[in-house]
Amino acid sequence: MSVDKIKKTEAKEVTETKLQGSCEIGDTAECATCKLCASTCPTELNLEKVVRIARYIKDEKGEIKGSHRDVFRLASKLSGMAETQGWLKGVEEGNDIVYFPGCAALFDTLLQRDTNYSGNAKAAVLSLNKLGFKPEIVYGCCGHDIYFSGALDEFEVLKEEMMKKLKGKKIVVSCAEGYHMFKNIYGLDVVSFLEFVQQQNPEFVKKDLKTTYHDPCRYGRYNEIYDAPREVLAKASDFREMENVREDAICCSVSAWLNCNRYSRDVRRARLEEAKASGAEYLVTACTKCSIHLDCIHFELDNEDAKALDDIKILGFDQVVGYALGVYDPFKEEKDYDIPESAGKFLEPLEIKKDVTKYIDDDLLEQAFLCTTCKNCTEVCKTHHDTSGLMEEFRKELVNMGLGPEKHEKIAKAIAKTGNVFAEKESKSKPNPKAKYIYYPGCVALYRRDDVFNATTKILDMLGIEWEIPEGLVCCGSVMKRTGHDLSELIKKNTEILKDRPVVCSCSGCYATLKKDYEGLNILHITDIVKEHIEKLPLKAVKKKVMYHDPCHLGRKFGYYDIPREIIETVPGIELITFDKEKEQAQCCGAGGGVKSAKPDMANNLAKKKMEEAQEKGADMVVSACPFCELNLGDNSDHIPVVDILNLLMESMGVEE
Amino acid sequence: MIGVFICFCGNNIGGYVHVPELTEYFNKKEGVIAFDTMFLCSEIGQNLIKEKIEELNLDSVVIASCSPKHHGGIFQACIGEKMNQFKWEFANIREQCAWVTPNKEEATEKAKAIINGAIEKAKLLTDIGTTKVSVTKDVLIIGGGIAGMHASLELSDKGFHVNMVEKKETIGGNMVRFDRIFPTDDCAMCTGSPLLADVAMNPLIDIFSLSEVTEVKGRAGEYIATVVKKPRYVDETKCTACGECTTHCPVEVWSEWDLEMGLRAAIYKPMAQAVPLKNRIERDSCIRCGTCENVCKAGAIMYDDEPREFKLTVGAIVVATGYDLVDLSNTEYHLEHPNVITGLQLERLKVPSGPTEGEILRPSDGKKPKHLLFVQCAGSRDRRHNVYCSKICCMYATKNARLIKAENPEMDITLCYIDMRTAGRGYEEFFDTAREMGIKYLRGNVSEIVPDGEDLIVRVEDTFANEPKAIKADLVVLSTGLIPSQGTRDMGTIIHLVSGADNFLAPVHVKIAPVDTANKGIYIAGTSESPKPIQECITDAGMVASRIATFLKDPEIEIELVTSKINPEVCIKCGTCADNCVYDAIETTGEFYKVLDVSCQSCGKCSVTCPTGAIDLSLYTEDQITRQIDGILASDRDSIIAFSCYQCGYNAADLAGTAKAKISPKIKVIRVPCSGRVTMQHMLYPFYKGAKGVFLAACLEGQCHYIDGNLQAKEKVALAKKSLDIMGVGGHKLNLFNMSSAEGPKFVAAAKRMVEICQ
Repeated sequence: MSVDKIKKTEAKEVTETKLQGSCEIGDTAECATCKLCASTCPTELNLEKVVRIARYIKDEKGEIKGSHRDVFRLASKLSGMAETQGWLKGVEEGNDIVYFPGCAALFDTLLQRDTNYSGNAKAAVLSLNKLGFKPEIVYGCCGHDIYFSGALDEFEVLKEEMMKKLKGKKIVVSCAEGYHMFKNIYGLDVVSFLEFVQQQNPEFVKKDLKTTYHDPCRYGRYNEIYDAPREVLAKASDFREMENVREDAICCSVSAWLNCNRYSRDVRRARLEEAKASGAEYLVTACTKCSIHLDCIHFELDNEDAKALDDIKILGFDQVVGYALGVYDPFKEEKDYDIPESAGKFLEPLEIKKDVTKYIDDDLLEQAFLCTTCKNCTEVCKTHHDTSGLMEEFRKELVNMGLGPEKHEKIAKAIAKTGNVFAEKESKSKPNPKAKYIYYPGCVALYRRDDVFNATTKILDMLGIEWEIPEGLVCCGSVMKRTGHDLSELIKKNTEILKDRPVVCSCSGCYATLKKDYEGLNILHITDIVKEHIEKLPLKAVKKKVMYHDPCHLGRKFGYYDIPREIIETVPGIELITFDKEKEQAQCCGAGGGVKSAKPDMANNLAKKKMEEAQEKGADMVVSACPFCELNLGDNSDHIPVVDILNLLMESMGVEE
Repeated sequence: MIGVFICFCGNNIGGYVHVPELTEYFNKKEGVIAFDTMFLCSEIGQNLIKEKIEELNLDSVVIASCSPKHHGGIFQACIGEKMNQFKWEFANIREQCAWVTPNKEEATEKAKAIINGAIEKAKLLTDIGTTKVSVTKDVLIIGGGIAGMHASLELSDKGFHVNMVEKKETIGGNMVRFDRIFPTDDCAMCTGSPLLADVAMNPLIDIFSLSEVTEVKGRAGEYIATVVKKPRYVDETKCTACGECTTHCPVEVWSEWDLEMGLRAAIYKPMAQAVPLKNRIERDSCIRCGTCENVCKAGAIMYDDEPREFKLTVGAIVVATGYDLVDLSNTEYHLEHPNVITGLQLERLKVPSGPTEGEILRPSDGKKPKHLLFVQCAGSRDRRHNVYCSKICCMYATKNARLIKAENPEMDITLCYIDMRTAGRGYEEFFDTAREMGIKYLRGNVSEIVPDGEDLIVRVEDTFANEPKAIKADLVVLSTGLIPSQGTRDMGTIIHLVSGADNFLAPVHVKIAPVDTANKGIYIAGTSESPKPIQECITDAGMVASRIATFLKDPEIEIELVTSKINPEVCIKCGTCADNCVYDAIETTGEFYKVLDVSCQSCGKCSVTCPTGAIDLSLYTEDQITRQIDGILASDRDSIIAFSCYQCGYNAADLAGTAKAKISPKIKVIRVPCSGRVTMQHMLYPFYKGAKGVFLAACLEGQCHYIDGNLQAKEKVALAKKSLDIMGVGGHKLNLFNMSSAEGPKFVAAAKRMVEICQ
């Protein structure tokens, strides 16, 4: 057969991988479940749980892919099915206490990098020996990675096996992940090696190692073990702190092997730079996974950062302890895993029937619909995880299962029937086919805040901008999107009408939806227009203290921080005072993400808090650029009016609304 | 919808597998529609495939038939007429199922698993495009022997510029050292010298003598070869080959050209017809007396000549690096005895221009022998040396025996043989006349040659008479077996050509693509491929020239983009892939890493090392292989997965089938381009799904088509075994076996071993 004679199909170029200008945030960034965002969430929701269950659904679809070709999650699953062999040699074993060494030996082999993370376990047991304990070493896998990556059924199998070995025993664990799992997920009697050593308070020979301590999230924010490692390290070595520690510690940014990407790489570099800046030579941590990820920079060949950070070495906490106790040398050449040949076992594949409903409880449903999609968490997240995107996707799954809140269903039905969220029957179209612009007021301005509607249309008229509200426009679908409903019908209807002319929005929710979820439209926010023509408006002094509330969909989503403020400050006599948290850190009004309808108490509480602050600061007026924020804040304000930026302009021009 | 087309292949598959049962079974599978036909490769079969693709708007196709090595190209072209040519997966149910599984029920079940794996993989197949790249019309021919010379003339006749690189001081190869050639008894030089002259005079052929190719880089259509030209110490532009220098040179050493049957000076030309016709100083024997420099009127002597390195950019390469003789010294043949000579040495004695001017004189005393004995199969068909038959010896020994007998009717000539293999036009007749002339043919394998002073006692069993004999001879000629020359063996590492178990270079398919190699644009001709007579070398040369003319006929060639792809969204630019790529196919300088499609050789080693999974090899993606494992194990949980490298292991498995060896139906082959493509995940994953064992069938060490894929696989297997031991699954259930593409029995043994281990 002539290879050359094979006839080819029409040359079809499929080589070029689609390149985007930059990474779309949320596409590759993953949640490291580090809990750094927990303190900033206005509704204090348990994001970790939502992430985990959402991952269960994704895993079922085969969408969860760990780094290193997912071999570590596979190994974890296999460990649950077979019988992990002992790999520590040269230590004294007994039954004083149980020691769990974690998975380091497996990592050392599967990483193919000539590493010795196993040294931590060896050092820990030798230290226990030195302190007079001969532990029973129980090998196995705690299942942290499969648990946090959503392989929950496989985790249950593994957990059952581990429980047989560990139940009723007192366990010492070195690794932060194992500790968290055994303590909080298995509910076992477990003590961390950090605290164990602290309690034993042994005599150390202080080593001349310049150390600093990296808080693993599972020890730190998850279990608030902050002091023990520091106390021990200060005795055993020349210890110093980094800039961000304890509650504010920067995560190593990889968890469950899921998020090795450019973001986590940046975070890792930042962390190591902090360590270097502290003057330390050794970054000490108590989590194998933190060690591996931070250490990984030293295995990257094409990384300029790595060269600069070559002098920061990663060391396990237990190794420092073993070193200072004189029983372990962290700098020796040989490896600390000693793997015997296993007779082996034939594995029966797990008969798993994936069913997410097993894991959906009331708490989860509560958590899932508490999020206002304000994106405050994304702002603090070191890997820029798109939490609100995740929430929307997750809600979609729940809604498809018929688990969405009744209120949301009602809204969805109202939109389907009447085209607006309030089920109002009256059409508010103002056709003017010759108009250059389409004005898209949105449901709130149309049916609940006609002050905004009136101010906007009047100002547009004053500026000589011809506008119309065409017949047939329906709700933009913002609320549908946020609550996990399908908005494709709405997109179809509106796009047909909106496609040819620039569209001006009052509502930042509409603006965000039309801009992000629709394609091919020219969307403007009213503040864009006003800013451009502000000198045409005969503004007169308004002697008022004004506070500006940043709508989440305008601020954090599109960076509209300065334009509205500049407009406000153009009004003579205005004193613009600030909330404690502004711009990127601004607190949500509480209404977004369907919270106002499904969880009104939460929405009201958050708005009240905000308005109380305004009152305390002596504001005469709170101004915003989103009728929905204004509606919710206004509903929860006793004394201070909450108005749209255009109403403020109307007031300044002395025009009656 | 996936269309499954199952071939009966007459009785070849149909006789061993219940084909209608398979069709029925897969027709029940959701999203699958199955058809069977007698010969899928026939026009009827191909039309069926094309019709159904169109009629049912199939997403992809599974071809369950023979090995893709056999008719893969036909099906690719057939499917390519209706959809993307890569939207199909094959299920090899002939060589790797029907032919190795005697029990029809078992074979049917195995076929189900193989097809099911293919279906699962087919679900994830995507379009793969082609691209056009420019080609250089120049050709590089390595080796200036009879095959190289013929190919160069054929190619220059077609208008191609040829660079011929020859290791020796002259082109011509072994043939021009012969006396006469069979079956016509023509004078070798009478045939050879016009060829030499044609090559020398041809303006489109550049000859680089004393030169070797040390490195080949680039891609099909644009290879860049590094050539090192050794110093001649004689200025080629000035030397007139007058021979004054040779006459005056005081040195006399054994001549390599004459195979130590004669002497030469330190400055010499090997023969009067040498091309280039220039003298040469052989520095090891030169005593630097300065005589030649003094006598050379042309001033051509250059004692300070130095090696020179240069690069040639060529579109295609012909490897025609020839053979050597197997070294039989210090064996029972007693080659070190002066009166035991090789067939090639006899040729030098017989050549009228040779050291004895054509007289047969025995080396020990220069006397004419009375009892001449030829020993056939010396070093061939012998497990201690080479198992293969050297093909030409029966004829060349007979030719020499005839010529000598004709000139010396009184001489007693015996020829000891195992079998006379004289198939070919005019060959049997040639052999017949030899017997009529009185040459004694004794059927028996020579067991020993015992020196008896200057004579020799040849021990042999006469298998017709059934009696052992000790024949006295005063000159013994060994019909010595052929082995690949050093140059041929070097090509395996320099160009990464695949060789067989015999170390000769292996064609991509021994039957249907005999001069093509797995490297597109690189061809093999002559005895670098296997021992063969001159006319076959010439046939090869013609075919190679024709293949190259086809390949380079247009300014651009189309290449299939079965290459690695980088997902820039996931890539962290750590550099691991680029460090691993021996073809420099990953560009790391831009904003995103990028695979250079034309450089990528599709081994997939990069995708194994990527920590984030950003790079993946199309047609063998991580997910595709995983799903194939799923499909196989869903059908037969007890399977042993055999990841087989397409260059060697897969071929060995096919050969086991062709030989109708018996292989346990548990063994399920998954094709990978290179054993280095198999990730740790792939090594462990089958166990998670219940597989009983996993093995890799890789190339022999040092013979990886992709240089070091099998060595990387070796390291990975060692670590994966350890991790299987830690987890308690058992590292012994994962193994790596090395085998050449020709070693069917090794695959059978590996399979057997795995079944024993994984009980």
